[in-house]
Amino acid sequence: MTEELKIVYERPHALTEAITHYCPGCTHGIIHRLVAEVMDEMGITERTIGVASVGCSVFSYNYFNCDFASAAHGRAPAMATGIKRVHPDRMVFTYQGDGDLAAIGTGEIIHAAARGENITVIFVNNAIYGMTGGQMAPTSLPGMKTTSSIRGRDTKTTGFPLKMSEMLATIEGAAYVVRRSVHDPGHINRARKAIRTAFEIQQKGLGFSIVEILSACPVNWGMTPTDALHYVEHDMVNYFPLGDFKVADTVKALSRG
Amino acid sequence: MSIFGAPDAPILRTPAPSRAHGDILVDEDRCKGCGLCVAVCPKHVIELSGRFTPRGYHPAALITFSNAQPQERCTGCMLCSTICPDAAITVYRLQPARA
Amino acid sequence: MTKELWKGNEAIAEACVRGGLEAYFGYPITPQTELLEYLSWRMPDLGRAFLQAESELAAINMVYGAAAAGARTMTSSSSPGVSLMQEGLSYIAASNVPMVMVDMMRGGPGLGNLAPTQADYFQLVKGGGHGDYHPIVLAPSSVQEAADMAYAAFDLADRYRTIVIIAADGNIGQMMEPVEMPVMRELVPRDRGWELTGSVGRPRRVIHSLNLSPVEMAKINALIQDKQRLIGANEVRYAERFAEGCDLLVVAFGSAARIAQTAIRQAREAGLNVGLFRPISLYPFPSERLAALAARTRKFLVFELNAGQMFEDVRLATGSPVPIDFLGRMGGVMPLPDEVLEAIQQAMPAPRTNGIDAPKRAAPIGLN
Repeated sequence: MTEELKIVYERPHALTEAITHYCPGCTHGIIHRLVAEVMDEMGITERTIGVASVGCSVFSYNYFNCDFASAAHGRAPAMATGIKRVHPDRMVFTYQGDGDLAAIGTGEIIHAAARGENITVIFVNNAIYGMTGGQMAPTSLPGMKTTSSIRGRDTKTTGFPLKMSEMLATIEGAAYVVRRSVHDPGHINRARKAIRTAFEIQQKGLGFSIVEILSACPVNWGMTPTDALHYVEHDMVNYFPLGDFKVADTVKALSRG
Repeated sequence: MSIFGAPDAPILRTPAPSRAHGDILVDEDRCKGCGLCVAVCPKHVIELSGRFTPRGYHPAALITFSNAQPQERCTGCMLCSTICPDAAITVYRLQPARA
Repeated sequence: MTKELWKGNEAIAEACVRGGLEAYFGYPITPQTELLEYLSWRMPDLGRAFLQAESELAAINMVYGAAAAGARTMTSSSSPGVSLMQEGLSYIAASNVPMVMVDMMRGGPGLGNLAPTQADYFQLVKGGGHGDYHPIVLAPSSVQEAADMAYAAFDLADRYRTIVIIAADGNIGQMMEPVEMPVMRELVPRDRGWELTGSVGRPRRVIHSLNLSPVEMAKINALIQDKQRLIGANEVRYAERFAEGCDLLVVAFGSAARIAQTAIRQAREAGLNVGLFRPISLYPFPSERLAALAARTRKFLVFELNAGQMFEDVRLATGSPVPIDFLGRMGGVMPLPDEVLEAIQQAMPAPRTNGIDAPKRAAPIGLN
């Protein structure tokens, strides 16, 4: 019997040829790849318009092979709303970090969810401000040392990390609110599945979908890439539990049907 | 044990086709030597080479063993490509040739 | 076409609809809220996009999205809301996507009040947001003029891929005046080569405003500056009455010009050689015409409902030799024509005494 080596995995077509500026081991790269794999699988790349945010992923518009807009800090859900309202038949997604979505953009994300805006939000939560050099984020863990909390986050003066998925899940207009992680291949595969579900929800017009993905920031956490993933697995998941916080009935019917 | 292989070790494909299950090709323009694939490979057959890529990283590469046992070879399981943040890895698997 | 009585805010809204408005995003704020309320039913009736956003911040960013996606889109607000929108306007200007904004100017600074002013001149005309850019700014002085501007605004914005702002004193939104409404335009799908519509059958497009390389950023800025020059050459608008060779030229825009017009008519009836220059485009400012008039005018009187904003552009345009007086009202106070007449009389230059007959002057009226 003759055998030959066949390709079982190659780089998704929905990623451009550009080499990313992300640090070695940055999980933005994994998440970009997952979104691109879903776009390839669903064959939606040419019908998709992405909205980049401000943070390390500001250049995401260079990495996805589809039309892309670049929003001001925190405003991506509003910009996505404008695009989706005039192109309801296109797939519109935002890609945001924790500063963008949970600090300056809290108003915009809540109201996009409240309106049941038929967009998909990819929320990359690495508990720190990467692009600007490692400051504290609204999702930084208590005691976390950052450049603007050098003695560790003091909950007395700076409060506690925001659990965005839990909050957004209380909003009626939100159809799918889940939190996943990318700290190992099993969880990465589950994250991809959630992203796929979120895009299918948009495709079927079932409402607002958001996938929060716990991520690593090796450089600003001061860890190796592998240690950083351990931190996600043990410390971040501890504070931000993984799971499905809101799955609308119409969405449940999807997996049944 | 260092994750770095011997300096200047050449990249060789995994063992002779008749015993191999899988193979990977690492795009050295993209690989940033983050080491996640090394950590995740269940057969421990990936290492960071002592060489440098054009961008100054130590690229991931399949380790070659001169007398490799089957369980020490790449199986094309795709765990490395699943965790690679730069989509730098193409994974091959030995499959029956279609007529 | 017949004239109908229209409230300013609603007339502007309807004129925008007829001019091809496809998507409106706004937020309630006095004195323009009726514009939003009108569109909240008019747009869905026509199957077009309408959304009351959660804030002016959100509204301008929705406009940014819709504009990047190629839709004819607008927002409306008043002074404090416009301040909130400046970030968005800067991003939109940097991206060269067209949009229209209506600013119903009210008292400021701060929360201010609901009364009409012209105190947004600086924030609208000088750019407003960060960076080197200027929107086209048009100042109507009647409901009809506002409606005509609104109807033509989308074409104008498209022509240059720029922002067009209708800067109306707050009262214009509230006044009811006879208006001849323009004809409803057909919505025509377009592809001008930059819209984000999904890359079916074409290379993908990106609309962004970040350029880390200073050299690249300089090039982008140079393109914007080229555009401004083109706008400056083609889009200057003004109106004038008795402006040539007058002793005193009153320069005023919007409602201030209307009040001044009455005062000037009274002054001329009393024999004073006074004229009116009304800039209609605040950007591009009619500097050339003003400079030409300066050569044949003895004195200017700038009259605005603010502390002196257009005043600076008049000074820049006319050069220092010509004396410029200023009459301003702040906080939303709208003077009556006789207050302006008094200012005109006080500002009139002394009659010439170099052998040439001085123009006849009656005794000053009602000065004390």
